[in-house]
Amino acid sequence: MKKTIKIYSILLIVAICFTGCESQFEDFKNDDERLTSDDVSAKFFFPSTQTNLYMPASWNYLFTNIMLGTAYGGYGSFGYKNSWEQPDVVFNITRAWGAAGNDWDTFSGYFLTIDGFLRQVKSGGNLENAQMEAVGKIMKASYFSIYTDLWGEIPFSEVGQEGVLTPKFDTQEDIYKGMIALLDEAMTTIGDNTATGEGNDDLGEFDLMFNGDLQKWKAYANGLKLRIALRAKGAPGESFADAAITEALSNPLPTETVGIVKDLSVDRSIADNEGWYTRHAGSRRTLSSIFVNALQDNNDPRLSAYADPIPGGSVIFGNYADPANKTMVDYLLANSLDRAGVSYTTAMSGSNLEIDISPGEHYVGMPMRFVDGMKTHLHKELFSRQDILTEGFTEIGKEINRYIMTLAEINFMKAEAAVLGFGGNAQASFQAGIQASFDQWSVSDNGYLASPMATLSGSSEDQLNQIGLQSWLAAYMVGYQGFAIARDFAIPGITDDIPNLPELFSLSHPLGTKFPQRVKYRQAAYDLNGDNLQDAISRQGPDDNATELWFAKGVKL
Amino acid sequence: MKKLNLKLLTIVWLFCSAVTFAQSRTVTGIVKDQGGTPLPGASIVEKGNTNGAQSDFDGNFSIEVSEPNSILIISYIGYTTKEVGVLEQTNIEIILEEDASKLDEVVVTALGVLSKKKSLGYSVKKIGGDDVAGAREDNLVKSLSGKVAGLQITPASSGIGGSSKVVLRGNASLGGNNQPLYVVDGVPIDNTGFGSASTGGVAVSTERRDYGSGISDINPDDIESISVLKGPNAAALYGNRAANGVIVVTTKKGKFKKGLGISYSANAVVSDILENTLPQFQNDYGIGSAGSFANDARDNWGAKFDGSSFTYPSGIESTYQAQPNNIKDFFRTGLEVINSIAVQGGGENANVRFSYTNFNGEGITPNTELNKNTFNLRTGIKLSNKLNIDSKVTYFNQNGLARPTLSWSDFNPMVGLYRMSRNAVLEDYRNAAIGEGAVVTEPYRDSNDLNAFYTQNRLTNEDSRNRFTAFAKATYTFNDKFSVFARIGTDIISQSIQQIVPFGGTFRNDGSRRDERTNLTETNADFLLMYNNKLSENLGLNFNAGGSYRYNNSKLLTKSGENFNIPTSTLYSNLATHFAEENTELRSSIYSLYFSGTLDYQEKIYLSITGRNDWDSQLYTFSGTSSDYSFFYPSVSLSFLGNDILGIKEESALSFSKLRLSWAEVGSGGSKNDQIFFNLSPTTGYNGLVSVSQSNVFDDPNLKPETTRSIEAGLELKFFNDRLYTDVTYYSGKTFDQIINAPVDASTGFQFMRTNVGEISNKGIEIFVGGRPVQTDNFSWDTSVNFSKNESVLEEFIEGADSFVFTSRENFSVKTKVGGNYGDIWGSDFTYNDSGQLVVNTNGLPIATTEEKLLGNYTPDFIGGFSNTFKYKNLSLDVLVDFRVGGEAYDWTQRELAVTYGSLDVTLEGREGFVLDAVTESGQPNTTEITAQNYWSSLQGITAAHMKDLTNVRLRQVSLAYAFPSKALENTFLDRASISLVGRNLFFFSKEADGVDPEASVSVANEGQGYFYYNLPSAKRIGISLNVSF
Repeated sequence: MKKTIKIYSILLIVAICFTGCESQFEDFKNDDERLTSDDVSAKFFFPSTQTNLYMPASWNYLFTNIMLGTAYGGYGSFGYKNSWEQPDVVFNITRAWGAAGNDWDTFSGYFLTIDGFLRQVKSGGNLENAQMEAVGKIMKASYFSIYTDLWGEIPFSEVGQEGVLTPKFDTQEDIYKGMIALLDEAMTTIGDNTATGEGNDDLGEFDLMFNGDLQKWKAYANGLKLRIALRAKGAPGESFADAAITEALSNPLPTETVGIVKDLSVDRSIADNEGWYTRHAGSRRTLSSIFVNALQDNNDPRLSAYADPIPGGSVIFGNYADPANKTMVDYLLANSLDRAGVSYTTAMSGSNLEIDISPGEHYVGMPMRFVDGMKTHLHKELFSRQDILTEGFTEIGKEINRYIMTLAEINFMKAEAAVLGFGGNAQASFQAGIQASFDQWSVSDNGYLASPMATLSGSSEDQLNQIGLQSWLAAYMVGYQGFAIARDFAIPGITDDIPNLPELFSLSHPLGTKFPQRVKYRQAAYDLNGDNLQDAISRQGPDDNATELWFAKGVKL
Repeated sequence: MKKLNLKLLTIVWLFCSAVTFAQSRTVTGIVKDQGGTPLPGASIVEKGNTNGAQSDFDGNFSIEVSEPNSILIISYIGYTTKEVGVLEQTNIEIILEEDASKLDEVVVTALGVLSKKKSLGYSVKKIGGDDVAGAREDNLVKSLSGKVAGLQITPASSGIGGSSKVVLRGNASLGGNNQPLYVVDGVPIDNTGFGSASTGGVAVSTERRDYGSGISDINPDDIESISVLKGPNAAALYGNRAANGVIVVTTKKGKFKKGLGISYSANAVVSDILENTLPQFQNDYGIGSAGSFANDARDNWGAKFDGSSFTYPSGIESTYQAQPNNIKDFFRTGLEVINSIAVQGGGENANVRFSYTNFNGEGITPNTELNKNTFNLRTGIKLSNKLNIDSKVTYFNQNGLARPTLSWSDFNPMVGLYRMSRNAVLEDYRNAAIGEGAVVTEPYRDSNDLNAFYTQNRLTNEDSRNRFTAFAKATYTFNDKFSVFARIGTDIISQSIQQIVPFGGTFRNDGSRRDERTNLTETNADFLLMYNNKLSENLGLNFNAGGSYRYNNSKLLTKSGENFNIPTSTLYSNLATHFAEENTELRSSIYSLYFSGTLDYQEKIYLSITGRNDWDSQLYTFSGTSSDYSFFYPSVSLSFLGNDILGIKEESALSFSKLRLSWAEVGSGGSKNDQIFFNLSPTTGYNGLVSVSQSNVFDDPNLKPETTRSIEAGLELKFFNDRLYTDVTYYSGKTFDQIINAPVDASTGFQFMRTNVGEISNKGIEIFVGGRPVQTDNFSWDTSVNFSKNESVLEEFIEGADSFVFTSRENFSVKTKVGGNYGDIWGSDFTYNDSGQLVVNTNGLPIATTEEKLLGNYTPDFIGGFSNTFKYKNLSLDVLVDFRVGGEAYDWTQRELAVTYGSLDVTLEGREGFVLDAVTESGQPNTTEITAQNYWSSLQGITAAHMKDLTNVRLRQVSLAYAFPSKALENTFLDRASISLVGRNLFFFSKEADGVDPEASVSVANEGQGYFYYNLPSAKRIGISLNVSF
């Protein structure tokens, strides 16, 4: 009997323990060190919505802005002798998995940032604020605009909906319409407001673009609407562009360049981390021959702002005696130094060819997409690199501006609209655009503004080509705009085929000799949302960089 | 007549009683083993009668016998049953002999209960302590390799004291670590691995550091035995952490015996790199490109070596010739010296065993050191005949220095080392990294690869671990049928890690420093009521019921910063920038109640049922209702002893037969989610602005427990008086409703969704065949083979997103698609046409497929071990060969060293030009000449070109031991002495993959499997060991 009592008492103790467990569990729940909505203001979420999109950290910066923005945009060339990459690295889609993959991660992943902000400030959110929501919508449209212009179809209408784990991909036409709707909503909400609120509710310095000035946001939203509508203009089946262009032109547009001024003296670690992947010899890029030639052939004063002169000196081409090497080196010399009018002496030393470049300030671009075998001949002495600032080299205390929408672009958009029949003085806006670009790069006119390059002439189509070329020249270092402009206008001389010389150029399947049209989806997209992605591919065309996107199809006129 | 008979009987009975009484009807005695240690709990029965008794803690017993000629049957688990005639003795000393042939038959099962193996309905493998200690591995789990069917050990290639991934019967969980639970003396221990090697991280590009895990802290010299409980069937009673099996470690304890015993062992192990696990370098061509030399080149596509003199851009003069040993000579001979002393003593009511082991090791990489000290005190006290206290206290201390960093990191020394050019002189590197004006990168040219000597000598990577483990257990025996124990155990770990990059250490900043301190506590308190009785002549019952409480607490404190103000100082206060400290504390607890009951019919058929209910705080996090955090799971098993049922005698050809069947379920609350509502960035944001973000994990409010369900069937047979035996097991299980952070498309607004998703099935077979083909008086030969095969399939996942990615980078990924196998490797392949011919592009080079293809799977088709033990008198020789067939991994090292650097011997072919046997895209025969450089360069995008077959057969262990005969020690102070020589990991009989150790991984995490990335070579180990006791 005694034993039985003992057993029961043990069981009883256990039972008491279990009833007590809930309060212990409740206590554990608060172990995570976390802020609650009482501690935070929505503005703390905001800076990353701008930095994550326009100035991602080092590694992503290398892949997004430099590899895609610059290389696909036609400005930079890969694969000079001391670099990490092969010359065709971003164009050969099997190789470019790294670049395109990181790019996809950056862009698809950015949604977390903007959605995180919008979820807080939306109606019914923890930190509800309609004006902040309006600003968030403008950022969201800015993001989707870059994102869809790189890949084409992406999830848009079903994003961020609870319970939807695999949002469908939307056609680019629907995304364009959706972006305009977002911008219209935001502009209506802003109305005459000038700030998102007072005290903690004011974005203020947490807004790196406009310091919390809502009217500037409204003008930028209108500019973005104009950019989106003009880009869509003439695309197959579109019926919304004309109305949007007309509306945008009748409302205020930005009166100064939109961007983020980066003050690196504030945080040394940002400078160091940013610099790490872009200042090393292996990460440096040379400028492309299309870009340097387009500037040099027309005596463009921006050449010396955009590019550094070639280092020059003496260069040894190894094993020149070998016929394969000779073919490569001869082509290279003819199309680089000779093309740029650089004088040099040649001499054979054993089986090597030694050249000595005459001193002087020369600018030489490097042709894009050579075969791997060419790399050994692509000596750094031969080519212009990007100016140290624009290349992303960072030093303590130096400022870098990240351009989002330049005054030049706003003027070129006005010129384009005028040519398309929406009213306005096309030539005046065109000139103002070029002048704005000169101002932006602190160069003065050398007679260029009076040259045929800066004078609209010929058919409307010719004039659009002129506007396209100037927009492209001015869009250097403006995120991904150069790549989109090149495809939208299909600018002669810029988006031409590369020479069909397989021994010299990597005519990698499936791009062949063509200018790239888009970026390949990353494998992760197949893994995480495969069925919807396959639907998108069946509408849009094969998932490679040769497939032309909706906005680039059709004619504007 | 009837009356008379009764009377007569009464008289006879009285007479007899009187006689027996007169001759003392009660017999007392003591049961001991051969070493004189009393055996408590031995069963004493009078033959032909039902009266029985059990020996007490001193081995003493008393029994009433009916007649002077009675025969007592004395039995004890693991010992030969003995029959003794009482005759006129009153105080009998009974010495039981260990039953060598049936040693396996007692095993430690769940909750530390000793069970007869024949009663178990599931598979358990026991390994003796000597097998573990004899292997002298730096981490004891490594010594289990090849010894247990269904157990796969994959060590991280992190050098001395690193951790190992242990998988029993395949991977079952997408998000969990798939590793077994470790239980020491009945108390679960924390096996958390420190450093990033043990944690996840999706991309290949994750730095891994390995500071060993909990199990590497256990001192092999203290181990009595190890039981491997495979799969959930064996482990159902240990609860949710046992879904991947349990490794039960029993440590040595003192004996209730008068006198002092001292034993001492000294061991020395030397280790050297196993050369063919190092990338295979070429020695014909040096720096340059396209066949021509260049003094500033990094890659080895230059001219043939000609012995000419040249000057590097940095001014160092050199000769253009191969340095065949420049990589190999970086490594040194490792040395581990282990000294262990154990003292034990006691009396009738108490015993104590104290041991101290010191491990002093130097790794094969320069400057790498590891020191361990283990103090262990075990005490047994008999407070009364009924109350017994067993307790243990272990203090463990470990200090590591310069453990190499693994995987994708600037600080992985193998990256800088393997990338050295073929004509680079190692001494130049050594000299460049030390002294005044030391450079951190290579000495010849502008580079961003850190010099390996610099990494190992100048970067400070120090770790230390203090661990305190203790338990106390009180057992109260009410009577021979009923007893109870209560136990409390705790495991407290304090780990600190310090990483310092001095001023000038990298391009990134002016040095950095990170100090990390982790404190982990796990406390387990449990009790168990044990009841053992014969219900009737035919039915026996063994019933246990108990409960437990587990409490875990982990605290992490991290301090870090960068840029030293004063270049020569690495003090924390000297940092210019301090990052915000990270300080987290997470607690969890589980309350459990459980029972297990075994019913036997004539000890021929055993039926066992277990049930357990957990109340888990980790599930409470998500909702407040008890139905969510309380869950129950049962198991049932059957054991049929064929010979006994069918009446086959032991002397017949089939001496033993047993059929096992079992079904089990294990529930799990998963691990606590780091759900953070708002996340404050540890560094100040842009322009010094405060930066806050949201959690990227979406929490499913309707989370339910994860469940593993499994069945197992097994057959054990022994033939010819146990000279030949076999054990075959088939199992099939599935783990469903897995609680994982399922990666979701970022367009959902989250990166992960924490929910119940995914079902993985595992099925496989395990075969064990052993025997003693030769046995003479002086010589015996034991041999055994084990073999196991497992298949894991992802049966279900999120609809529309049908794959789970473990790791991926560029065109390579380890991921499992629905219907595919765990461990599948995907990537691009060569392009072939419909007739299977290789297709090349206009440049005459292979074309990568744009669609990804299934290229292999890193898990083996089957694995096994072949073990032989030869004994001649006092000499014994053990030879263990283990083998693995099938499985592939991606060799990222080759992808870089061959593709870019041209330094591997595979790049020698076609240096002067060749034409690939292929067709062009239009179907014409290929005639375009290419060079090896063109060819390899094109393979960067072709994942299939770098897949390695992991099949290998390895001489895992050879050991030779000699025990001095007692005669030889007669006139010395020694009781016992033995000496042994052991070689581990000596060579491969066969290995398909060049330049890697196929069994090594970059880390023990799921995400570290399936690829090689600048792995450290494996080491072969040769040790000598001397054991004496006096």
